[in-house]
Amino acid sequence: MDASEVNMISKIKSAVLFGLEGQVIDVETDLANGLPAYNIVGLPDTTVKESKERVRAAIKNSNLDFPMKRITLNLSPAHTRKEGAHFDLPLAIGILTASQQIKEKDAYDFAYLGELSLNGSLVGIRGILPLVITLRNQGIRRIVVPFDNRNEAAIVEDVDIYPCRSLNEVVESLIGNKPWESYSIPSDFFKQDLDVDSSLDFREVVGQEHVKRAMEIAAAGAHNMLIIGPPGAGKTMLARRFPTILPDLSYEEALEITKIYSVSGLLHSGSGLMKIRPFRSPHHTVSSTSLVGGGRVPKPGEVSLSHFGVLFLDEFTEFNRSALEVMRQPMEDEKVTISRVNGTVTYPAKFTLLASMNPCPCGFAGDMGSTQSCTCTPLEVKRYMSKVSGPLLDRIDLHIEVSAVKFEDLSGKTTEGKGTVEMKEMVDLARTVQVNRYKGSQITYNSQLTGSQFKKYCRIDESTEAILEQAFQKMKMSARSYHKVLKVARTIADLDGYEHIEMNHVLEALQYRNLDRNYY
Amino acid sequence: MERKECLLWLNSIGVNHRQMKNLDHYFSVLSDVLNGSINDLQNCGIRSQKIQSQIINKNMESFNSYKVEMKKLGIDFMTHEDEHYPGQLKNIPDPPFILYYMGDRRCLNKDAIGMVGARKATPVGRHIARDLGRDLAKNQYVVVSGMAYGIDTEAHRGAVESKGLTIAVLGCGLDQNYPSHNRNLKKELLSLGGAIVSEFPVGTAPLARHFPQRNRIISGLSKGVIVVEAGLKSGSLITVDYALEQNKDVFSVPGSVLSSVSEGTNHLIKEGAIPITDAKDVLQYYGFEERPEGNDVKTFDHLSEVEQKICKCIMKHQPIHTDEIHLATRIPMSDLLPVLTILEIKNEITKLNNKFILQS
Repeated sequence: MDASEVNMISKIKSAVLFGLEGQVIDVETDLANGLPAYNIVGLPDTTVKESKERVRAAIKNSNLDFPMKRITLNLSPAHTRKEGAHFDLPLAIGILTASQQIKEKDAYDFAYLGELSLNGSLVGIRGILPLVITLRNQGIRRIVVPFDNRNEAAIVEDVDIYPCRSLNEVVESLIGNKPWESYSIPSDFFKQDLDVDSSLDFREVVGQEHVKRAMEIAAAGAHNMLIIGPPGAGKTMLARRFPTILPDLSYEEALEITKIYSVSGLLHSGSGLMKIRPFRSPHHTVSSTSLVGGGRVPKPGEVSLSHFGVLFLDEFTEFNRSALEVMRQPMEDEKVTISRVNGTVTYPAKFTLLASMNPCPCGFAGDMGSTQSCTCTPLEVKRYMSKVSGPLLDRIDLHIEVSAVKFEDLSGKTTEGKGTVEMKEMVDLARTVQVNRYKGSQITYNSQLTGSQFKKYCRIDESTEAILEQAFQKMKMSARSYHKVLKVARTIADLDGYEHIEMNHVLEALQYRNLDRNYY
Repeated sequence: MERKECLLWLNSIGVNHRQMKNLDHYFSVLSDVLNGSINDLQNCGIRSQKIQSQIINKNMESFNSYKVEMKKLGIDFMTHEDEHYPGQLKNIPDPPFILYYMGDRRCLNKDAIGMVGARKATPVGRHIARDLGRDLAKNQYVVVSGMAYGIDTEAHRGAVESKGLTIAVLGCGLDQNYPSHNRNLKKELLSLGGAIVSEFPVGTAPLARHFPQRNRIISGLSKGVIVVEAGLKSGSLITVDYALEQNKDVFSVPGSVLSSVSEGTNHLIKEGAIPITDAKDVLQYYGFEERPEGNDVKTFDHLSEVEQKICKCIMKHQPIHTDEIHLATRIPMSDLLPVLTILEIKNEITKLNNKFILQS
């Protein structure tokens, strides 16, 4: 018989990611007679090209045969760039199948993902979750993954996950020496999170009821917030507790966040679905790329890592102007689009912004309770405050000023204030109201209200309108603040359990426009 | 050349006060300076070649364009011999030879109180300066100050608020846009009948060394000088020195012993300055009863119970932060905030850097 009858081309299923979106890849292996050669084609990037050596060593060290043939591996379709170290396993299986050390019909039952170390053990990779989702969506129901990735992979429904520790284990099961066992997450598996310490509670914050109230509002309506205060006032402490009152993640939200963290390589080995909203606090020396995303192979930036969570910009005025500028578009679109030669990658970026700053360059402006007084000239203060202007400030609905806590407050003479549990209860209620109200519309939260929606959802009666006008005059506010005040009033009304915005709600909302007043 | 013209001309080319005095003594008739030699000029302390050549060459062309410039900017002038020259100023040891002015010169002869203080004033100090300016102007006193950042600006603002008269004495030429953010304030005070004066020729920049000189004019024009806030090394204390020299009264607003901008004012009180806390103290000192404005004593009877509770709390502890009001009154935050807004709208209270105080 001629050579064509001996089918020495194997076709193994795997996948590749481009951002959070994936594509199924066929790993074709051809063994031809001729001088031993070993090539990978199909636009492999450097990591994939290096697979060659890892695969060869892994096969040899697993006591399997590495064929002395002309080996050509093709990653199909050939026109897209392939990146990632997870091709090691499918390439190895491809070679083993083509050299008939494994039977085709056994191998073709599965898709394979995993990096190989030189001794043949399977190493965990990043991006497992979106990869598995991609394969599942294309109808592939059985997937072999590295052992370390099992909990993340098993999140996906309608798919059988087979975690293995080494190439040997995979091969043993494929040739029938060991039965396949699919993996499900144990019911008592503690779904951990990153970045948020669940032992934090607002009860630990002494005094500062005003800010706590503001945070309640911010959490309920997803309003962005700016905290102004001198050093030592507890701005960071308050910010860190903010995520504790945010509503629980829905399954879909958790899935999306886990994908982003997976792709960024931020999930700890063995971890599963992220259950708590992320809290990101980049240092003010952060670059635009780190903030928004980018790199040769586009990776999510801080705005995406805080998707459905909180982005805290401490010392807001110290951030690079250009870095902050770059944030404008994502805040507008709620996603980041990064263009590369091969195409565009989109990462979602729907976050709540918390920013903090001092009231003036030295930090003590107007803080008459402390022993330090402000040493800044009015011009210095003016210049400092003008840094906080423009489009970014325009997206911040709440301004609140905190003052340094006095000693007697610390020593516990005051009564205990609100804690996380009660605050979260109220936030959850308010959020439910919003979900129902905006069902079927484009928006989810009060902070997203625009244009004609105000007429529909934020009606106020004549006397309230009159008071609003008076307040605007007295407090010297501009027209821009008008809608922000209404949005906040809408959330306050929701927290209060009122369908219509009452005067009280508007009056309270006015207390959160501190920067609009002309103090300085 | 007439003496008046001569004084103006010499001032315009940069002859300073001391040199002018010397020239006046040296030459029996001032206009003789036109025939003077370089030696004569040197003897009078004029060492600048630029000024010397101006005098020797008798360059009248530039003088003419100077006068045209003045007219264009609405700047007039008077000499110390003019009948309109303010009486108070004439009696000081070193009255300025030339006084440039913009606005209504009549206010220069009315009863005036000077106010000075730190540029880096605290919000509290500024608030007090504003109140003082307002109340003094309301009671027919002209408020004199230097238009600098901080206390000076607030003093002028207060006077303008009650539509009163105020005079700004500058340490630069009247054409200079300094301080830049007070442009509108200047316009306002002029429109109300006030004046802006300076002894420096048009075109002089606001240099630091001009300010002590101008301070003597502030105290010179006034019956007494109030220092609102000042550090130990503040320029306002120079004004006090002049005031003492000129036999004027010195008032000082006491401040927190921990506040650096009150170190100067507290020190003055220790040294004998008259401590004051409001305009009434000054008025009473001069034997003038304040025109009562309805209710002097702060009552809250017209307010609701909750509003009264809050106002009383603020009155007791001002300035006070929202959190502290909440702790003291035990009113829940979401109930407290709306009432605070209402009280602000009603002008019962006002917010100064996120702390509340009663509106006076």
